Amino acid sequence: MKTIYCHAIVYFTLFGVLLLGSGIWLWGLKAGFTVEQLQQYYCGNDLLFMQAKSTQGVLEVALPHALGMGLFMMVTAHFMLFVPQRHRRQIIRLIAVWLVSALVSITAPFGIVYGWSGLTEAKLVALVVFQILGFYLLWRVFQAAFTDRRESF
Amino acid sequence: MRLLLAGLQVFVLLFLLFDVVYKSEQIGFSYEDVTTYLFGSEALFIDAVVLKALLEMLHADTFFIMMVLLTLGSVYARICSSKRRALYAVHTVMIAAFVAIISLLAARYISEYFIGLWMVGFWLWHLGAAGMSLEILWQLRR
Repeated sequence: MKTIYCHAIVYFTLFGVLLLGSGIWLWGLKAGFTVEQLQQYYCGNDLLFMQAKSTQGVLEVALPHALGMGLFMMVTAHFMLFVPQRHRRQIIRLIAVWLVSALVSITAPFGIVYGWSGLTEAKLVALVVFQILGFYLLWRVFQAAFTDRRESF
Repeated sequence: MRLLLAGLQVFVLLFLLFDVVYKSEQIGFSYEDVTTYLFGSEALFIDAVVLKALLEMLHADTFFIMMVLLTLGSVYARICSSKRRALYAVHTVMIAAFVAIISLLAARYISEYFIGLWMVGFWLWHLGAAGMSLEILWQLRR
């Protein structure tokens, strides 16, 4: 059974990469990756005829992501059981940072549309940290599950 | 525990059914329907799908698929009497679902030929997952 489970985890990491990858791509298409682009995306730009986001608009994105990101992180983090014991402490710290970055990434846009423009930088940093840690942790899970799968044959 | 797992299978089957109905409404399952959805049709005054909308659908699909198939695969691995069959089933649905996601995007940007691959992948993972789910329900009756 353990072997089959490891196979399923390997596929989970592939889907995870697809999920994070399509997320970045979508974000690039919708908003962009500079502070100015993000500011325009949330607060609008009269010269470019870009409308400012409403709280409802931000909520429409935040609502599914609050559940989705939470569930995705929980499932990915619980696969850390496969990671060798000696790396556990470092991984736990990274998971904590990952969780905080997701939280900031989801909640910061509410502050931005209320006029706290300083949160734009926080949102951008949180987004980048979330993506980098997401790919890194998925890689660690893939590595551990793949090794475990090979050894169990 | 049996009741819980049986309940989960009912919801998985419902998800698969709703996904098929939703995709048939949104995209369609004939070659012409998918072509019209991806590239639009001047004769029917239908615009091609916008990349943003296509990506949003695939992004959400990826999340649902990974959660459904991981849950289904881990239950199936415990319940299926033949471990070899369970292994083949997990590989088949996972690869088919992965191919389905990638090929729709590839059909839009690389070649129309990927439409056929999307159809095969889509039906294979849906029918495979439904079969696994039904087998779990069958095994749980005892």
